[in-house]
Amino acid sequence: MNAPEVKPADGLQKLVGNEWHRLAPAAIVHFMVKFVLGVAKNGIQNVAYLGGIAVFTGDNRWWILGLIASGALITLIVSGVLAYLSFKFRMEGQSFLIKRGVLNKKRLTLSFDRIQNVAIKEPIYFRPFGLVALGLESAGSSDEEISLAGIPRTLAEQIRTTVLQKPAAPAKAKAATKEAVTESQPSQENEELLLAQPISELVRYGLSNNNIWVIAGLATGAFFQQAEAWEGAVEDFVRSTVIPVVGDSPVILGSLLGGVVLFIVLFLMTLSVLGAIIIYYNFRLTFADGRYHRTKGLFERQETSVPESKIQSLQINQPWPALLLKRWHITIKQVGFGKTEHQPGSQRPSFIIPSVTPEFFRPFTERLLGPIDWGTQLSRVSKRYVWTSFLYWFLPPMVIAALIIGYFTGTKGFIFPFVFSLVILPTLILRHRRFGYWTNGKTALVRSGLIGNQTSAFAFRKVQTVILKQSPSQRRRDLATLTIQLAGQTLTIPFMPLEDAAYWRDQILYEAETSKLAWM
Amino acid sequence: MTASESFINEPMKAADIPTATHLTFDRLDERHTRVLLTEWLIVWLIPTVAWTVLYGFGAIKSSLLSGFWPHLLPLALLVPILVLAPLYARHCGFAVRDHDIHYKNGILWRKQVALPFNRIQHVETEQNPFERLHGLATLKFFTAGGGSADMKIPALATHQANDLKALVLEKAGEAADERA
Repeated sequence: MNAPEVKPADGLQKLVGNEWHRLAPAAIVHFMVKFVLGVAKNGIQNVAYLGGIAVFTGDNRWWILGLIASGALITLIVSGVLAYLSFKFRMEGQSFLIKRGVLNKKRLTLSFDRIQNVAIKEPIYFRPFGLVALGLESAGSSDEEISLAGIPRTLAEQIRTTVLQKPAAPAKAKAATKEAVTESQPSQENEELLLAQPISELVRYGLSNNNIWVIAGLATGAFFQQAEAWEGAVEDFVRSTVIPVVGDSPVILGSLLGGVVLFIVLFLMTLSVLGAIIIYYNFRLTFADGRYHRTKGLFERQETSVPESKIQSLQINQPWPALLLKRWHITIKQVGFGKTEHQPGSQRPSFIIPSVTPEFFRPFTERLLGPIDWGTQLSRVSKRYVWTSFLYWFLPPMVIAALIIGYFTGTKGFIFPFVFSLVILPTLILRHRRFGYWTNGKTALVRSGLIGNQTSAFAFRKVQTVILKQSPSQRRRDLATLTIQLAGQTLTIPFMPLEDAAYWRDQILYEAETSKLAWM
Repeated sequence: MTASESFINEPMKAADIPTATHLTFDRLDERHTRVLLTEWLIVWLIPTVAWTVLYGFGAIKSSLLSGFWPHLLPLALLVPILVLAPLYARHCGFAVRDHDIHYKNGILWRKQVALPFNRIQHVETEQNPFERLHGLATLKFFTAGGGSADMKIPALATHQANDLKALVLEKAGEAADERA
């Protein structure tokens, strides 16, 4: 694999024309890696066939497996080369044109104003060649995403500057493209560094983000579901290996079990910390030319840029482990990021700023949204939230469950709902305490949570829809549930005083309708 | 920063902000009740037929059921259907203002959606077979907020739906021009 064929210096001008361009040949590696990852992600079950072959084919199994492996390798190389050969791109006016696909030929046109995010990734296998992968993400579907894997870094940076620059007028398209190239140089100098995270903060992020506990919870669940499968084996192991050594005192066995659990937790935490360091290594957040840039990553350096105007809201999260460490994690919400949560497969990485303190996030939020009064208490929602949720949503199913269990087991079954309500009520009370809201008529904060909490900060002018709902009991008490739809997320404030809810709705509509600023 | 510095509250302007609390909502087309009745009766009819056939052939046996009267059981469900359909239709309505559109529905659980024109991405007209039968249409409004339609106004006379769609798109266009 040799040096890139497109010369970095005149790269951008070359692109603007009728000629199609290829990626650097090193892209073959990228296509192969992508193919392998795709198979690994979607086709883990295929491995079972290999296992089947290994088990059932007898003496010549290695020969057959070797044949399959070399066949797969050849397919991989050929498909990598073909993908490289069929991938072509060029720029025309204000849009990007791509031709790709070996069997299914696809042509894609993505105009600059639809581009939401520009990401520059530097995978480890591109580093020796000075190449990067440039990702252009649109606000629309994931089909419209372009990845130029294997172009020189300077060219990628020029494309980024050009693409993210607002054109002065459509007619001046070509002129704007050329200006962009010259303007990109000085912009690097007045780049403002907002945040640089040392390893210590990444360790804190690794310890305090929720993911590890979610995974641990799921793993525990799966573990106990399969209890029958491993119970016997564990018992045998303990009987044959552990007890002869340590004796069968319940104290010793109990503390051994505790030790094992502690070890697993520590192991998971170490994994999480390592993961955080690998993903967020040398995290830097900078601001230049109306855009926020983020660079991070140990093995794969990633650069992501978001134009300031496209930010829809900020989510300031403090999961419960972060309470102990007094840290917050910020997520920048953009168009379309909210709905991907319900569509697995089209998930994009979210823009997270890990492990910050109020000294960072308060001025940062105000920089984006204007003044916020952090000193005042957020308004609380009505206590009716606890009782109504309990009476409407939990009591009826509990009574039915109690009747059914009671029918089969006698009076003992009736205890069940009382035990259950012991768990549910405190949960609802905790949730009620976390709900909070504040606004100055332009900017708003909405907080929710259970033990930890997340506060969303957003400008009223960016809201898409407001929904005001009232149940019969809410109507009697002049309460309402307000749902605010932003382009990046949906927020719900339950059981707020009707007066506040109506004020929020009216003020949101006023701000959204009178604001002359672009919301995206 | 002190509280007084950051607290922006312009009383003059705030008082001028129009409230959407006392809007007068336009009723939907009166044929809405008929569409609702058709839809709900079909939903009612399927289990009713199943019940009648199964009971008629003696497939359902219980000490509580005997003779002809269990055949009349599904009729009990007809009462709420006949009462609720006109009531529900009466509680639906929409209101158009200069800069936004509102839709309300719900007899007991009431919901009011507000949508500024300048947030509308696109508008769709939809007719299911029952609406087509009665010459009605549903208007669906999409913003960048959710995946599905953010506001649905059912049971508009076809010409009314077209007029409203044209009006909304015009207003949305104006809003876009103002911003640019």
